[in-house]
Amino acid sequence: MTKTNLAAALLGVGLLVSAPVFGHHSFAAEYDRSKQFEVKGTVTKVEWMNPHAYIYVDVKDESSGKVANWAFELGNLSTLMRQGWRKDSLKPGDVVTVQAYRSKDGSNLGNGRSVVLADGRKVFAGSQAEEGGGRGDDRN
Amino acid sequence: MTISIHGFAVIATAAVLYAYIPAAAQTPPAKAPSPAANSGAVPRTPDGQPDLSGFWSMAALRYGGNLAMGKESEVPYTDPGRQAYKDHDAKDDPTGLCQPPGMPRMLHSPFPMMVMQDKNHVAFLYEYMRIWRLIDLNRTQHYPDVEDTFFGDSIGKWEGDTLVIDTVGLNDRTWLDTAGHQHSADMRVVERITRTGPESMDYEVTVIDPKMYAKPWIHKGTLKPQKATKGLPELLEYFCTDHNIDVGHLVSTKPTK
Repeated sequence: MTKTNLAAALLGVGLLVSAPVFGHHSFAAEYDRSKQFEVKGTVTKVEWMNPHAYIYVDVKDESSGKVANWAFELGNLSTLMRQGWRKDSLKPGDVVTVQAYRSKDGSNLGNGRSVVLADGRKVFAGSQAEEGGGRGDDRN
Repeated sequence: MTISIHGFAVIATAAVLYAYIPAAAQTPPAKAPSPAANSGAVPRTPDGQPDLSGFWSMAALRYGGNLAMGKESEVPYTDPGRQAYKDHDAKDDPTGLCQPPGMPRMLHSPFPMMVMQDKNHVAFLYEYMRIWRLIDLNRTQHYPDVEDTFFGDSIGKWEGDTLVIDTVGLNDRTWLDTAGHQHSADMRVVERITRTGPESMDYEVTVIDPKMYAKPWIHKGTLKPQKATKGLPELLEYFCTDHNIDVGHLVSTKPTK
């Protein structure tokens, strides 16, 4: 289920505001910072590799019953590991709620801003969206 | 907080704390030195030069990925420099393709570096992309045939307690920063590094590129020692080319007119 507006409403809450995370690519070339959304689903795969960790999440559309697999780009391993995360901190089968920025190319891809387990624990937090650089739209 | 961290109990605590910590404080462990800890003499090598060696956090040179630091109108562009910035397309960001960041962008990652030093050389070992630079302290002239390279030819000299590094021979295929500020192949980069105490090192970087910038563009910051996270070394592995699946999703950011 996609709750496009819910995340935007929640992001004003201090607890959910995450920190800028370094990305090797321009955020603006891949994601739309004006399109934040939230999904809940089951982790199907964790890719623990640089330059970004990725998780894949099966998300069920409750109205149609169809399941779509979404990819979420997370931080780099250096940052994640120094924060205490490890390859097995999140596993296939975990149920997560992900707040993310939508990819510009329309694929089932988002830049994960926060990943929260069913019991409220926050995993692999952080998006590079808040970085000042790489906007690609501040030329004027 | 105990840290044999594969369980979630510790992680949950860290995550809650993390949410409250200002971003600038989150690149561990770049803690500001206490005045007492930093009040000792500047460490020196046996031959009397300031000792720059050790692990250093680069967080002070991040600038949020944008050398303009929110003041784009104050960038000292020439007309071609301004046009080059207007014409850049973020989808073509060289590091998005895992190309080397070049200078001065090499210094803008949040990841630490190790400095090694002897009488003849200073070496920088960067975590980001596992890149190294070697600074020759004996030569006073650049090699004439080094050109069109990502990191150029670097020579260094001591001016009092400041190491001054001069780098030329660069290509124009790197960007100055993530924001997309451009430079020409004639760019010269001057770094001035001064160890100011046991836990601090001033780092000033000047971009000299008259084709693109009407006057030298100077940035500086004060580096702090990098402490290892428990269970990990000071420098971690970062190979950009391992899994760069972003490339297939990059789209143009150029204004459509």
